[in-house]
Amino acid sequence: MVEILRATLQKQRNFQGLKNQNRVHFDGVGVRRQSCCAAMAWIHRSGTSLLFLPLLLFFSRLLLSTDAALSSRQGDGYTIAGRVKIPSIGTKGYGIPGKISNVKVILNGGQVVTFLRPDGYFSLSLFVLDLYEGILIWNFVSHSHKVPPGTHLIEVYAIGYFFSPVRVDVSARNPSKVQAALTETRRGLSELILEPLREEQYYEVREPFSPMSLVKSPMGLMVGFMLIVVFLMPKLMENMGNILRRCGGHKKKRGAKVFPHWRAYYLVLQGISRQV
Amino acid sequence: MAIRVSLLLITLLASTLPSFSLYEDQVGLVDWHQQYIGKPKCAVFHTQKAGRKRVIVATEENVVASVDLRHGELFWRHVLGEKDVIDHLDMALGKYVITLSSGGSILRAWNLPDGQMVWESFLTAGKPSKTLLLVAEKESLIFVYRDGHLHAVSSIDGSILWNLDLATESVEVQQLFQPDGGDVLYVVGLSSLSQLHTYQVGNGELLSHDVVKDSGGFSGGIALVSSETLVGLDATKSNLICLTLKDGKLSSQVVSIHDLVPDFSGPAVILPSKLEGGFALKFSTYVLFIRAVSEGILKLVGRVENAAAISGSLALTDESQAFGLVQHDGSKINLVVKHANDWENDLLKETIEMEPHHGLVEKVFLNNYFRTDRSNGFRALVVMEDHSLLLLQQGKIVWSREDGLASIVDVSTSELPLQKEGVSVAKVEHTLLEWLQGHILKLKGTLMLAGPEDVAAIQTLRLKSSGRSKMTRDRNGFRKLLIVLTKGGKLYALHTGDGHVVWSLLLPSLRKSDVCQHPIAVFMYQWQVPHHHVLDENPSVVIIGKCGLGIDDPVVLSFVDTFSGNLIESSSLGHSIVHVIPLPHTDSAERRLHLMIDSNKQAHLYPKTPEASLIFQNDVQNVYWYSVNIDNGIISGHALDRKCVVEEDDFCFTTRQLWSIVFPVDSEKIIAATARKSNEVVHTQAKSMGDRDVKYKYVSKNILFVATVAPKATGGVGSVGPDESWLVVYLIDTVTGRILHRMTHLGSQGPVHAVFSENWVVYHYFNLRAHRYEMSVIEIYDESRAENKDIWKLIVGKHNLTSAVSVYSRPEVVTMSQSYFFTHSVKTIEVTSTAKGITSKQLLIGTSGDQVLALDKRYLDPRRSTNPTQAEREEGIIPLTDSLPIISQSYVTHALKVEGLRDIITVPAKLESTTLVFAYGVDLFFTHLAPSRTYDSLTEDFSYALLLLTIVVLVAAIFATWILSERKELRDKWR
Repeated sequence: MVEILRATLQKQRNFQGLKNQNRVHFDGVGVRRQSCCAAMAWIHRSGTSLLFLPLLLFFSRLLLSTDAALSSRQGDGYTIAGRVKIPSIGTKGYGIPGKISNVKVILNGGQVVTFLRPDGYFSLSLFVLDLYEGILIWNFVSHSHKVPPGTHLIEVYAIGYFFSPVRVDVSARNPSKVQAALTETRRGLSELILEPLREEQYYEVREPFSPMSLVKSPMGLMVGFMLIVVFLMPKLMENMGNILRRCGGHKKKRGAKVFPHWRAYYLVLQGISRQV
Repeated sequence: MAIRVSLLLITLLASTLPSFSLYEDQVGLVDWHQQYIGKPKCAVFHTQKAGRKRVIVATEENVVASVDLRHGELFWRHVLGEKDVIDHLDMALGKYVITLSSGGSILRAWNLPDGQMVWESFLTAGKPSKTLLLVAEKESLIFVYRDGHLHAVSSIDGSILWNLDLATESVEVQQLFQPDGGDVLYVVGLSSLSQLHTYQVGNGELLSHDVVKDSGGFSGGIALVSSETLVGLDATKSNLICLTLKDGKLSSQVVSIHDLVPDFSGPAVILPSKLEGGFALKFSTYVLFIRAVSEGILKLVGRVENAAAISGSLALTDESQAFGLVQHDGSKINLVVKHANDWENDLLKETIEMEPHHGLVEKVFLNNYFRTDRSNGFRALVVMEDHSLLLLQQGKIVWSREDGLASIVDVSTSELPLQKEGVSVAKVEHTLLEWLQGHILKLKGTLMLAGPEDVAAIQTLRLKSSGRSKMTRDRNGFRKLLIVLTKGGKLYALHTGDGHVVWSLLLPSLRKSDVCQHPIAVFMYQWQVPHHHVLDENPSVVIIGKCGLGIDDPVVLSFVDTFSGNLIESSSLGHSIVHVIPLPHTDSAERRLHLMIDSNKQAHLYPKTPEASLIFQNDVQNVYWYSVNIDNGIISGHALDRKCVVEEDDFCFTTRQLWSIVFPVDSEKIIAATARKSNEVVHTQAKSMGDRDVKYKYVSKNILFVATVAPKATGGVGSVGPDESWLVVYLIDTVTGRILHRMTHLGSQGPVHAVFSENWVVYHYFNLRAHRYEMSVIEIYDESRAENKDIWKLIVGKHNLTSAVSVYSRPEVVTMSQSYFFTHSVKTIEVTSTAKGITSKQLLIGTSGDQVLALDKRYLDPRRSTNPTQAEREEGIIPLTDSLPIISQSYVTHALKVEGLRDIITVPAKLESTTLVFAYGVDLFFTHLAPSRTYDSLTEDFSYALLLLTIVVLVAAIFATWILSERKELRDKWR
């Protein structure tokens, strides 16, 4: 079950007004470019509460780009920030408690691996990505719109949960414009809040003991058949006298063997079939 | 009617897909999981005021972990990304562990008790350079120097407070320090012009930048001796340069080593260990300890022979510092702890007996604790040559961890010895009574009559069940030895029953020596697998080690007995090795013949015996192999030519190139090449269809699967758009070089992971258009035998089934292919292998989440269609879906993770239904897998007690009926 929250794809220039903290809602802002330095003063005034970690992080990115010594090329790093929401974490019933510290967020199949903060936020720095992408991206960045456009893939791995990978499109023209979609369900996300599609049960559930399972087992069948022979047979045998009387009109003679046994059984079976 | 019913039954049976499934109480019955961390690079202790004493380590496997000092167990552990190499580790605020990784661009803080990541900061990109980390506790700041920039990061929340460009181009920064009590930060670096640069930084601003020119120049690094003194070596390495900081300015004095040590010889190196007030100078055989007495005056305090490792200094009180020193003394080591100011007296001197297989001491980390009499006790964490980790305390090894197992290079298997008459190898033989008791307990469990104690008893009984760790061969072939070669040059034998180390051997040929500075273990092959001589010969493996990464580096072969773990022989070769071909021949001692190809394209036959040469003689013309040159995009096929003329060597052959395929460099780049495993067993070539038809698989062993991508698309996902990327796959016959099949996936890119088995290949790649991962399957069928279906032809003998097949004849093959979406990214793919190849196959997919998923091969069948016909359904063809299902019960690793997963190995057991799976990375995981369920043996669940009960009931019933019938007869007779 994925629940969509409010869309907040904040544009860069809006941050001028963010000193008014009441308006800030930072759940999963997509990609942010750093190009303005308005927040610098703000950061000194701001507290260091964990609540605003992504905010701080974001501003820290701002700060980097404001550094005059950095070339414009280098200043074009950006961060994909988001949040992983796992309902009722730690209450799993299969032994290992699902811990948020064991959740990994993987970008593009292993290029960047990051972990979650206590509140479930994560951020993937594409600075790091660029570093390893090498010259190709750098050149591209410097010649075009200074932001590596492209489509990236975010995967979340948490033991006990199944997450759909998320496709994140970074527009080349407008870097603050980001589109995210779950690749499994092809459903768009208005913001980067990732929730598990389902919980994963790694173990088969043992069926509670039922007498039927015992009866159904080969041994049970054997015993069952035996019981039928033991208890049902004599009952049927009782009918035998009548059948015999009807069939042959033999009179019982004391001490004389009336029938060979196989004959008796044959007749009994006949009797059964007649009854059926 | 009956036919219809039976058809229905077959369909039902076929449609129930056996997935690997496990009940929770079965965990640990056949599987085991071991957690490792790798070779520690740096360690920080946390023992003061802590209930749980622990040491935090950062390792070469990019692991940051908290290790319990009492038992050596892990409190928590995080495996960072593959490229996220940790450079520095420190502690801040007494509650956070700080790691600096990825060439200094990622700074993370981890919560000390539970390992939760608290914050993460990204520092600017740039060239990866030498990074420095300094934690200023007083101001709760962390200073990071990286690529000319000094960053100040708040240790509370990770926000970057300021960032200063020092413009230190061409300056190699050496030290970052903050003299006591000052707010001023000093950055000291060297430039190529033998200039010493000092930067003073206060509160985010550059206060001053001094350059001191030194005529002598510097070589090597600069050591920080105290907060005012730095020491370096000059270019001749015979003089020390002592730098003193005074009023923010550095002044230098040159001190000749000759004056300190008159008889010194050889080049000196300053050891990087931080010793307060002094430093260590290493010569070839001995280490000198030198103290900075006062401004510019140095004094020799001690000389230690055979010092193996020196720890950093440890503050005992505010004034006194101590450091640890480890010396080797035969099989023992001496741990000496000394006061930094007082050389003469030892604080501690302990001699500890070491096991020889650990090798030399490489690193030592020192920590102190208070004894009951308030005196200082010391414990030392020692990193050994074989990457193991030991804690020494009070002259004893408290615990040791075999962390070399986190970096496995190659895996092989070996059978265990046969159980011989008269030799009792089993530790515990069950008596009948115990056996019965166990089964009664089990019965109680089945009937839900067991109380909690009984349940616990059942579980322990199952876990140590019936000699799973016996040291002999079992009838089912479940018990084997996994021979594991690690990066540290150590060979381990792990028992498949419970994963314990049976023996371990530090290979002498893979140890660092004067001859070989950087030995690396490359491959391991089974050398001798005795079947006929099983009672008098032991199996052995050959390990190929090299000196350095180059192609031409000298090679050493080591032969190791896998029963005892003894080195049989070690020989260095006169040639290099680029490729090893195990041949399908064995000599009279059942040693396998191997052909080793060197970089001069000459082939060498091993073992070098006349017998081997004789055996191989007839087959010289039948050996073919291929080589893949990724850089130039060339795949070429080779064959043996004739014996080498130059060397008078019977075992050397020249080779010739038969064919080559050159891929256009500007449009295709090879990213993956996979061939069939040479030891794979195929049960039958024929595949019967649902419509009573037969298809013949093309089961040639000489097929190579090659994948190429557009050169632009070699980067990761997201580096190119779908229009400029394509993936081309080839099936190439490696004898003739003929391309059997070629297929293009437009808009797709790598990385490609492929597995080849029987007549099919499955590969995993990324589809840029759908932006999802995909898996494709290609199956190849032999058409030349397609006519052999007529039974009359077979009876009369007009068939070509027995006619010889030449690889040079043009094969009439048809291929079938299909693609499916797959959710996860993949690290490796493997296929199950069984003894006879009858059991159906499962793919084992190692996902990026470090889990192993078993996926039935039937999901990857090109004959799947959306609406299979009745006949196809009967055959077990699953209706086509666009994506492959991920059934969580079919995770082989169930709720565990094989952190840092690198590879999966499957080994057939003797029991046809079962295969043994070993997945390794930083962790190790082993389990049994039955892809079509265990159809040939009773499962562990089977209740013998119930069987006994049934028999008893049946016997009782027989008696009861007998008595009844007797009575009845008697009554009848009386009537």
